Amino acid sequence: MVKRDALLELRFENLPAAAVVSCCARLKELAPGLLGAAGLAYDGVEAFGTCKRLALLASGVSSAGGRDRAAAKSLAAVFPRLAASLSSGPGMSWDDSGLLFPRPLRGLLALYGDGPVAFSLGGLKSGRVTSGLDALGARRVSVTCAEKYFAELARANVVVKQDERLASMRRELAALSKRMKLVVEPDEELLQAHLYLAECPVWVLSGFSQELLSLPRETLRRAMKELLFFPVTDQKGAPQPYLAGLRDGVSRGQRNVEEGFRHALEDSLRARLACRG
Amino acid sequence: MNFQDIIQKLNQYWARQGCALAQPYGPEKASAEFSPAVFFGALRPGPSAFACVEACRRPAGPARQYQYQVFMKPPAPDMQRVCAGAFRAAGLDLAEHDLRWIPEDWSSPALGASGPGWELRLDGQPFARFVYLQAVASRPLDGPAALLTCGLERLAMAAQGKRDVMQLRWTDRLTYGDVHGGAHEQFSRYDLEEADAQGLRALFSVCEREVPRLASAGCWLPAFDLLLKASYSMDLLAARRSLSADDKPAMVKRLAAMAGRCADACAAKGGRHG
Repeated sequence: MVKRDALLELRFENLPAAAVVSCCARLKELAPGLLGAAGLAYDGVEAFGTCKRLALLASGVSSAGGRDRAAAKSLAAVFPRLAASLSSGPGMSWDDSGLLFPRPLRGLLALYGDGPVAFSLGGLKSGRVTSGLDALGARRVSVTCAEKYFAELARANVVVKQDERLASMRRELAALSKRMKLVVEPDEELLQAHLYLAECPVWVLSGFSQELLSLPRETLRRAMKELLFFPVTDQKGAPQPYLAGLRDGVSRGQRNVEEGFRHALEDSLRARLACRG
Repeated sequence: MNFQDIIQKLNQYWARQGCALAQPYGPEKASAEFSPAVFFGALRPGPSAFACVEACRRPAGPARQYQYQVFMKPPAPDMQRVCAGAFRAAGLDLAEHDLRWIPEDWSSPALGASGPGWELRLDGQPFARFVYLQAVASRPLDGPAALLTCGLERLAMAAQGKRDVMQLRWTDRLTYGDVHGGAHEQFSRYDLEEADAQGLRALFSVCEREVPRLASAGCWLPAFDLLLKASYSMDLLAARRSLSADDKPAMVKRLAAMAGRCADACAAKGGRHG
């Protein structure tokens, strides 16, 4: 019996974090029933998400008769039902398709093994093409097969699996702290926010004017959090004139981003200083 | 690319997308979202697409802020990608910066306008807003509409690598400071110290009284101008610290009522001006 992976990717305009989490949960919840009802056996089902895409992976899929074409045909009925199921929650309209999603749907990728699974939804046709990282021009990525989807997206600087993104963020954060011999506070809420704001999170370290440390610690912390920055302290917990942030993309133009982050924080802190008179 | 070249490139880009290039609208407004072209363009049946520079006045902010505004009803296909293309056309290399789309549910209570969208941050600093308008004057639209409002100074500072707005190259010979120098100090003083609070409250009341009368007479466009004046008066009162914690929400409700009257008058005529 031939078993191949099946992959469905729904590509959106940037989704709110809560929508990514709830849609992934819904896909994972509904997929087993729909696959089973279509006579498809599978080894496992997982759903992954970034701010730009939801990906459902059904591994080791086979049809009852063990034929590729039968499995692909069944998936062509299952996939649009799965996608449309996400349209039943809170959503917006952006064209006359009648679809309601949290943000506009812009692309469909569907593969069974190395063959495309063909269906249409909201005027879009599924295929094997998706987009890479926005910061690098959202270049066209043609995926060779479902089994290589994650690796091929990674080569396009997109880390689809949220667990991998989070693990990478934590690893790099620890390495950054060690390099600086300081402590970048690993605010869990901020880490979770960044998890669904970037497909390729890269740490950025910047400094700010020492005089602004005269502000109360809570004011500093609040200002940084609003800007999605992480405070930095020394080993004894004393605030330091540095901030850590994340960008979405490779480290070209890192200096621009460091300067921008610094100015954003300094402007915010100076406004708070001015209010205190 | 100097400041006026950025504007020209944006104009060329959005004209290619099918937008009419409008001109800035007169009455003071704190944000381009208060443009009547947006308000009535969203409410009127049928398509609309325009792009323009609006000179906005934020009391206690810079003397003038230029916002580039695009309104498209219906939105262009793949509108987010089209917006990113506009920033590139304006000289921004997105690979050299960090552009984030922070999801938000935007609303303007004074205009009864709302829709899902994003605050765009460029290298950590807010610089644009993109909204898929779903309602204006608390009325659902007859079709989706996209509204992009982009801070031109911020865009130019990133494109030119400048920290001080006054140092921006407006042309190859003149800076932003050469064009606008001195205005900031005078307008800040006016906003924070000299504006007549009593007079502003009186102006708000006059506008509030006149809007329904004009709207009933079929003059909803002049009525909307008065709404803009009332809104700006409120902003100045806030800058002068002449509003209590309860005053501003109450005034916003009164503005929303004015917006509703303008919208009703427009709808009664099917959105036709004549």
